[in-house]
Amino acid sequence: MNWIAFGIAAYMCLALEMGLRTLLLFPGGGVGQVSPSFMLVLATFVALRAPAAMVTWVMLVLGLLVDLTSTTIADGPVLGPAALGYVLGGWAVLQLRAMVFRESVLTLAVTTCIAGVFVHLGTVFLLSMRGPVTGEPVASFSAADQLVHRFLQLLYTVVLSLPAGLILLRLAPAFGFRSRLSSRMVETVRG
Amino acid sequence: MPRGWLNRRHILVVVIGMLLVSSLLPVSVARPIAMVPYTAVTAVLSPISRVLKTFSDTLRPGYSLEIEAGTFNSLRADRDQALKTIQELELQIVDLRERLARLTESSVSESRQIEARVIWYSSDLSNPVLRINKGLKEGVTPSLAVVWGVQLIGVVQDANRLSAEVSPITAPGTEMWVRVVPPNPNSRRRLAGQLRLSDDGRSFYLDVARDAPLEIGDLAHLADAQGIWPPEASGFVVGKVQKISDHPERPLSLKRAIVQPLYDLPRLSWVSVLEPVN
Repeated sequence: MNWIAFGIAAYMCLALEMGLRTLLLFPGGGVGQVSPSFMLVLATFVALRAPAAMVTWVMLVLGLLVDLTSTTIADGPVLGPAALGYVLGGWAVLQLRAMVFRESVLTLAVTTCIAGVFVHLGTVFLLSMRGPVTGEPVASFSAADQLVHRFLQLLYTVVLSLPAGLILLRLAPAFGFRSRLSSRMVETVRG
Repeated sequence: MPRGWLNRRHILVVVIGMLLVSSLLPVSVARPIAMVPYTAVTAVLSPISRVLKTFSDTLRPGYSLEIEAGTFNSLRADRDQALKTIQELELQIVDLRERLARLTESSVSESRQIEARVIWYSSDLSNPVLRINKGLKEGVTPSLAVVWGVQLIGVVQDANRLSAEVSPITAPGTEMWVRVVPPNPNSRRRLAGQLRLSDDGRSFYLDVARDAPLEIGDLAHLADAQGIWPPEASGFVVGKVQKISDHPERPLSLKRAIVQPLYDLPRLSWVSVLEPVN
């Protein structure tokens, strides 16, 4: 995998997520406004194609970036909840990816939805555990509200993943993904 | 990657373990750890995210709170008038209570002063205490007022035969009604209010309306009509207005005066205990 291309993509996704938040806000009813997650789409895209050994590291990096830019904990950033949630999401994609056709945008959308469920469940679980473990519950935090909010956010992200997926599929060669199976196939064809 | 004790999988497990611990740390510990990468990421992202944010705000501006200026001004005038009325009524209440107290307790408000040396003081802000060298033998009993010149120092908290402990006015939780007047006795300017102890434990603050007649240098005299303080302590100076600033939460309607006692607790060498004559 080309880490430079991945770094640029992560940078762009994070900047888009932060910069276009106002523009893409969508009314979320009683749980506040929701905005899509570009990072989740990128994470799913990479998890579908990158070598399995790298997926967890990629997820950790993307999750840490999400932790650093998250505003769920008003007192300041805390490293961990989203990073571990993304690791969980990456693990889910790894279990699925052998069974799906990776070149389709629809596959990316569906996988984003499944990965997102794991990411958000993991993140909300860890944020909920802060109260009992540290004695300092996150201010104004309700696990139920968070799950509803994040579910709506996930639906929005799935919609976004369709156009974003088209762009990412076009850019896929730049990432330099190459699985062991495809290398062997290339060697066989060359041989 | 070698297959020894330190391989990629082991590092991953350690990193995940550290993140698990980090995610469950108290904010006071976790925040400093995250601040360095947070600052770096924010700095790196800010050039492009700012441009995108401006673009977003141009396409979809936020909601603006539109209030008619006339209505706002009218509401503000009503609020100011109400605050002024409240202030005047508070002043009248204090006057009336003082008058009532004088009428009903005039026989006990006369007092004699027992001079005492300060033999020890505790600098602990959570429980400041003075110990004086006069006790039950000289007539110093608990709940008597203690002064230093015109300055009210506190109340006798506990006494034994030869010494007594005094709880100063800067003890935690102190609240007292005062009348704030200029040092010039001919001035008719005066103001009533409730002093509360500041967080520093050494001064008080008084929240009053913005147009309240208050100046730096004014003296706050105890005007306790609720019977919280000994009657002999009424009229003694609690402190001097050192600073006047905007109220931190309601700067449009209120101002905050910092009232500093005239004494310096560590340097206090003698005090007087006010013993009621009757």
